[in-house]
Amino acid sequence: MVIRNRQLSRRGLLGGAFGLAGAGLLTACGDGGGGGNGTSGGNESEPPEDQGSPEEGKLVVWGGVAPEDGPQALVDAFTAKYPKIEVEYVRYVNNDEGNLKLDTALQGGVPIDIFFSYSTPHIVRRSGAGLALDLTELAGQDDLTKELVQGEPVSTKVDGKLFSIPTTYFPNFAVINEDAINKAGIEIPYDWTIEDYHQVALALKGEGFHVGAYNVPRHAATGLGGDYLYKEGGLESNFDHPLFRKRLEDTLAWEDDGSILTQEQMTAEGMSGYMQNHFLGGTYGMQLDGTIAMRYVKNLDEYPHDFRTTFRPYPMLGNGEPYINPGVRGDDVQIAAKSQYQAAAWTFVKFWIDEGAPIISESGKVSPAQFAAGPGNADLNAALFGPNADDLFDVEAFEKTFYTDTPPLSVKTITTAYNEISSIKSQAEGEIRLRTLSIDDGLARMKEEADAAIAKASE
Amino acid sequence: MTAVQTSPGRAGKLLRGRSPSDHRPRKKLVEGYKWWIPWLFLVPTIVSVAAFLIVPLVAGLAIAFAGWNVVSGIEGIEWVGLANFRELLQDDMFWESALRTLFYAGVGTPLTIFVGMLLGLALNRPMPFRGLLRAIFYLPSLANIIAAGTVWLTLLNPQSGLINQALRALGIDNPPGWFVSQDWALPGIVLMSVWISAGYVSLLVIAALQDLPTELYESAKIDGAGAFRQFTTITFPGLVPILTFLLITSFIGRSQGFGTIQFMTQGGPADSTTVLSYYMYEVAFQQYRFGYSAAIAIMSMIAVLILSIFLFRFQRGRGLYT
Repeated sequence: MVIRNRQLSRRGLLGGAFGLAGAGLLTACGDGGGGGNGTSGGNESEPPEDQGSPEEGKLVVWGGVAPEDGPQALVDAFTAKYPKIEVEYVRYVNNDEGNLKLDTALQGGVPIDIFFSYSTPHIVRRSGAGLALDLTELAGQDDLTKELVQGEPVSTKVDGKLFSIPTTYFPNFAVINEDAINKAGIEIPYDWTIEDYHQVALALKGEGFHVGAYNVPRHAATGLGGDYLYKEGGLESNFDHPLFRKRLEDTLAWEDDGSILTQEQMTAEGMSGYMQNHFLGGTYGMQLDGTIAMRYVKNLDEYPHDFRTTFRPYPMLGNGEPYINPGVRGDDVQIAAKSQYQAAAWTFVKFWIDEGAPIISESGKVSPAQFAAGPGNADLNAALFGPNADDLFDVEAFEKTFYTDTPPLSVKTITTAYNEISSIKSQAEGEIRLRTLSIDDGLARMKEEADAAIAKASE
Repeated sequence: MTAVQTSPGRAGKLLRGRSPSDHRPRKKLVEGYKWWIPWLFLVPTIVSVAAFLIVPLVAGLAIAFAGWNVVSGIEGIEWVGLANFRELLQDDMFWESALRTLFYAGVGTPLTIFVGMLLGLALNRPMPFRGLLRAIFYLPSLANIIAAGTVWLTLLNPQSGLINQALRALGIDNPPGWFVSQDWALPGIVLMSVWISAGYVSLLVIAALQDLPTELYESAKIDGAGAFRQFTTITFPGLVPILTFLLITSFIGRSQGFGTIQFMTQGGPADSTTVLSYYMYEVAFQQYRFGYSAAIAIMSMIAVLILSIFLFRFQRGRGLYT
């Protein structure tokens, strides 16, 4: 018997392994039309056959709110009403890593039937990749959702189709320390301007606050609406619009006169993202926020304070100027294109925005239907403000501020290179606020880089 | 007929010239020898190396030549050839991040090793509580980055931080702004990284010092060499092998450093601490441009590899190997 000397060299082994890996990758990249249940990326994919019914199914829901902050109670209420629909709520953290985890899970065939998308770029990306079900027809057949598909867009649409249902009505408004305002003898009108806001901030600083307010209102978003970053239908950035310059000029001037925090203070104290701590802790007397602020104001255990909070609408640019609220209908819920229980999923979505909404309101969220029902909703107020409503909140001012159709909320319709542009903007604004870049140079850089990003994304 | 008698392979060559008694156990071993049997035992290792090292490496390499946003799935991969690399060459942010990486690794690594070496030399001498001191200096390298980062954010707070208060007490009216200053944020990160890693370096230096042959010092003393001469001719050359190892591994580690930046500054203020690894993260996780991010990773890997080879070659012939 003769044994052949089958020596395999390291080079050969490595080459073979690389070849195998490459071949595997190329095979995977081929036109396999893969994906579970015979579906694949792209809008043309057909949803799988429904394995359930509107009252029967098994759902997995991915959302960014912690289960104990409402979703689990909502799920319990839902399954009590629909005992044949089993629901599992999975929390993902709504940050870059969490969103990528959701994206890869959706793409990789992890069983997800319903998921929440918390920003327009995410909705557009997921819908455009064929990961979400087209809800246009379903929404048009339901009283609660038909406004989303009729007339002018009020929430995110992708190629004219509706892939997501907003679950919250989230206008931005001013949240103000009422005791401090009364002490300073200030009367704040409901039709105030950004300059009025500045004067109130100065007055608050005079009352002993470290600064008057957290930040400057968003001029461009207020004057131009959801697509304020773009012009020419999204083919060009809008940083040469005078409102961007005006905001930067105001920001520097307000930093200098102590009406707002400086960039250095915010960075040094790690204030970004925790503005409620400093409002309730007495660093400043006013901030621009939304209904989510109620969650913190009513939580005296974690945020002890002894003042009442009042509210005013988002300040406008000036009387007679265009006026759009930078807030949005948001916290959109989407049904996975690969869900095998799409009828049950739609039942769940409708429950969330209707009967389930008061449960979620405890965490500071108001649904579009609750907004449409108008003021005086005792259940909603109880959920939003908690048991010490009159001690902690100026409920009357809230209702006057919140329940109004004017100004309209923002709607984003363009998302070309949105994240890149946001990053370019925040980088340059940071440098301008640190006084290492002039406003002129900063705006020129923003314009040039944003236009390049748009051109790159449009290739 | 046995395989040994007929095989022209390496086994046969090895057995030639041995005594018959030597042959016996070997003969039993190779009876029934099949060439694929050793490979069979290697299969788990080969499969795991292929699955967790080679496939991701090749996939990363391939993605660098593509446009891909993950959500579109594998079907959404669009081959763009060298476009990502061409874009990269013109991307100011890439070059700025590369320079910051070079500063972070190029200054932080030698500084850490220098401080660690001094610590090691000091803690190698007889002194009271030497063991306790070694443990104290080593502790930061065990600390969680969140805990260590929180301590340093407090220490380097421009207004209330202990370090700036001390500097003011010394008469410096405008101490650095540290993590809120574009000029000082990266040096602040370097300072913290030195604090974290110097103890680990000192521990390895102490081990290396204790391994140096004492007879060399004795001979040097007889020849009249002073402490400085002994250090330059015996101690330092004796430490060169371990210092080289530390230099290369620390350099690579810092070049890939992400956690510290992510926790301390998120690349700011105004991108002043955006090193390559953080830029990669931004491009991939925020902009969903995984192809471009992979291109940055490939370029970064090649640069680190070249620099590591240079460092390794540079120390050749300069060390004292025992």
